[in-house]
Amino acid sequence: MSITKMHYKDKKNVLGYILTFVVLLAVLVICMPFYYIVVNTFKTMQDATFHPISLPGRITLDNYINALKIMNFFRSFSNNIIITFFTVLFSVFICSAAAYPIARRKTKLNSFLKFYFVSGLMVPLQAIIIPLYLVMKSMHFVNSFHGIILLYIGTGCAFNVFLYQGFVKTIPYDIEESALIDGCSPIRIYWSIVLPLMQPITATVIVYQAMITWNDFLSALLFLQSSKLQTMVLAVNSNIGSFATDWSNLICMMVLTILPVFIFFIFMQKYIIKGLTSGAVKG
Amino acid sequence: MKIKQIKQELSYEILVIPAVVLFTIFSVLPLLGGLFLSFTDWDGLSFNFKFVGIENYINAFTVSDVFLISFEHTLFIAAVTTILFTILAIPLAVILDSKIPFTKFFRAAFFFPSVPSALVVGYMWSFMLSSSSYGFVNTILGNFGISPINWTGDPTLAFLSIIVVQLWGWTGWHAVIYIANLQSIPTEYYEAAKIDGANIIQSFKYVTLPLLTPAMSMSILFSITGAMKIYDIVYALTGGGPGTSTYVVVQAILKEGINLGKYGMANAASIVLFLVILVITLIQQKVMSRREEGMT
Repeated sequence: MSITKMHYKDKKNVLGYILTFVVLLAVLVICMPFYYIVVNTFKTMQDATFHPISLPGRITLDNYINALKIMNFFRSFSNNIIITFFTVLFSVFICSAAAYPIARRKTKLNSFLKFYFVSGLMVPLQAIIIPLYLVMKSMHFVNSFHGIILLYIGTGCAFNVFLYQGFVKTIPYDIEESALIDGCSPIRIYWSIVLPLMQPITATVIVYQAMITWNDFLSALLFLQSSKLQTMVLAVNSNIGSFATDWSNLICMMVLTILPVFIFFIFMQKYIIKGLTSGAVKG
Repeated sequence: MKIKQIKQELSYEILVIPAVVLFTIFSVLPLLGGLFLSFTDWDGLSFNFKFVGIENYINAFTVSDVFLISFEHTLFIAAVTTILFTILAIPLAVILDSKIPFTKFFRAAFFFPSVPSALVVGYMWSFMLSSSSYGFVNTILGNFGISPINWTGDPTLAFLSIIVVQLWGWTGWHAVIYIANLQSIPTEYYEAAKIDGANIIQSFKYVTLPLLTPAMSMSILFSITGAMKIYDIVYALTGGGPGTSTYVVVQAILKEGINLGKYGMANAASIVLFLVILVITLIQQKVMSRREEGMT
């Protein structure tokens, strides 16, 4: 409940209308680049050159057909899917498993491990990229899916473990305790009791890890040099130079890259915003 | 009993192993390795190297000016964008939290630009700002009789472009943080302020703003640390140019380290980047927690 809510009624809706109008204008400005690239993808080169802002006179799909071929869409898209899927899948299991004993068992080892992972939150990927490059090279992880997937899991660990162990504290201990008395092993308890209860935070982890992995450029540029392993972002990047004057295919590639993310956003919006704001409320 | 207890604790710790191994290999080892190498003259090839003390740190900032200027540029972008995010996102959040129609759609529209890859966003904007006949911005300006401007060809305009694109991309994201905070402020506070005779501006200044400290703390922290790590968008939009006039830290580290093989200097600069981010985080958290304490 904010200040505008309080006073908006007093002014007999006038303020409300003005604000709506201002926001609408701002939204138009925000959406403009998307409109502009999308609308030009359907135009012929000539049409785009002379009437860049207007709607296409005659719709052509030639640009898309070219773009799909040039960026090798189906390969780069499936590369993205494979990398993101396995990164997210293993991140969920590995990080939730680690967070469970760290948050639940009060031992010296666990308080050290908690500190160990939390201090990882302070280490940006960008500041360790050179030694990371050396690690990847020495382990022969350059140009391999398993290499970059392990890298994404490893560099995302600190944040995911942090999210999970914060959540474990909110799960009541009773159920686990009775399972423990019944002779359940810790791994069994984690797998069949704790992991299912972690569902809400797992949604956040999935959404964020997926977005980070899908959009990554820096690590992908360094560690996926072979054109067969190219992700969509890399495909756009490697084709940018060859179209200095003719943008028509390139903007199609941009649209094709943004579109899956847009669809993901439409369906996952709730979780994206929840993940962000649950952190904000805690400060 | 004791041994049984240890055994039980160890059976829990099996769960930790995969995460610890991966985290150590891909985060801790590189950090410690980078720190170690920053004090040696290792050339990236042989196993012969010796300790050179802080020579790499001195060289990184004296031999050429590439790191110095890239730190200057990055800090400049961090300062300007952080100030502008705060100025723009708070009013935006207040409006989007009010009872105007379509707020759900508006919030999504403002938030979405932060979702796609920064690299593609950067390329999209370089298309928008292009000086060819395609360029949206120059086409619009052309309608007003203004001749095409080479947005990324001039140092000042190139910085302006980077900052505008950052604002376009992330103001809505910051607004969402503020909206969550605004929703946690009880209505009674505004009613009390109103009874005391406060007008809109006064109740914004004395009720809303101080209670927004937690969101502000988070927004500022993300803005500064995010800007220190900036790379994709600059790479796509200006490529660090014209010349090196918009070069940023990550770009300099990659070029000097990986392309030119100056591992010592690049590692030294990486450690400095890490420390800058660490110090900013610690200072900011201390200041904000003191402000929060002062309030309650």
